[in-house]
Amino acid sequence: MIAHNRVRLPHGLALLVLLLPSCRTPTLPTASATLGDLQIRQGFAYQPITNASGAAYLVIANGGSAADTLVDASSPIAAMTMFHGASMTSMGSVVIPPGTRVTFAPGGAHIMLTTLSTLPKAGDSLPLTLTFTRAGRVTLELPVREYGSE
Amino acid sequence: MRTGQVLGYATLAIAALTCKPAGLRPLGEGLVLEPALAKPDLVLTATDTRPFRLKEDTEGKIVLLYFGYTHCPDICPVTMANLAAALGRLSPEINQAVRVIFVTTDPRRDTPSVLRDWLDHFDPRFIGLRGDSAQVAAAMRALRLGEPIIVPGSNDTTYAVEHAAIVLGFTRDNLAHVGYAFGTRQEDWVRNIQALVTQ
Repeated sequence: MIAHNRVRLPHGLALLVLLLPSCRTPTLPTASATLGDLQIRQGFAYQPITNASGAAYLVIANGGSAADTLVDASSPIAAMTMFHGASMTSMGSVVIPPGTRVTFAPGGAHIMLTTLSTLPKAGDSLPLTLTFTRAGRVTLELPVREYGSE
Repeated sequence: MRTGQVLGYATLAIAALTCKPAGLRPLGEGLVLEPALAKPDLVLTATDTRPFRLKEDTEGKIVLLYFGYTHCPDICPVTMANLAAALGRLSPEINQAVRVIFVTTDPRRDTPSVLRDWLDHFDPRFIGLRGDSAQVAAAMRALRLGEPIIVPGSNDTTYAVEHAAIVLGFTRDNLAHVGYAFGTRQEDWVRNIQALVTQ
């Protein structure tokens, strides 16, 4: 049970006023791209702590009438790139049915980069090339942010 | 339910939607654990390779206990970064009263030095502990966190470890009355840590 459910909540408007200060979350830079019927948004990567691994995130929306499949991701700074589902299971490819979106976001699915040749810092960008069976290939320059910067 | 409460919940829902930062859900307070969970009487190994008695060596301290691993892509580093930032905003007295403990669920890759270097990135005071997998799994079961699950990768070194993402907050009575889920933000941590210390 979540503790705040126990608190007798004041009138809605009063609560809104109380919550407003917490809305001042800084907007962090993200990368986006359009590739055929695909809209790619909210792309970013965390500043890796060690060379062992890093993680990248984005949302892919398929506005077309046919499914597309994300078959590969690669970055010149990573020896290997993998798609991980929310339960950390490896996914060889990711199908995006028409009219749907696939979300890679912290706490859920992510694109894992392993064995990094350099460590990008917050404010740098990390190039990531995505390959789709229908839409083709696109490279995004993902802004790098620090863990905890949200 | 009173009208005021309905309005309150509706407003909370709207505020939660509009204020949502990228991928994180604002959670505010912790999850109340009833019954409270006892601090495990565990002896693990610290990053300086000395034994660490979880109960005795944290007597009288507020303990924020987390199980995770250094190859973790986001939940573990985000949690540690937020805790470090929150402690940085709190007084030296509060910092002195708190111990952040990270127990690895991946002792194979998280050697003492790997664990130490990773924790130092956030806060050199964070305590890193290792134990054998069975011992750590038993402690996690007792704390109702489930057991870590090894998810094989494409080769022997790229496996992932699925694990609970809850920080348990132990008070001076050696009980965790509250757990904090992923999504707890820095300002929530500041308030919650203060509450744990001063209550």
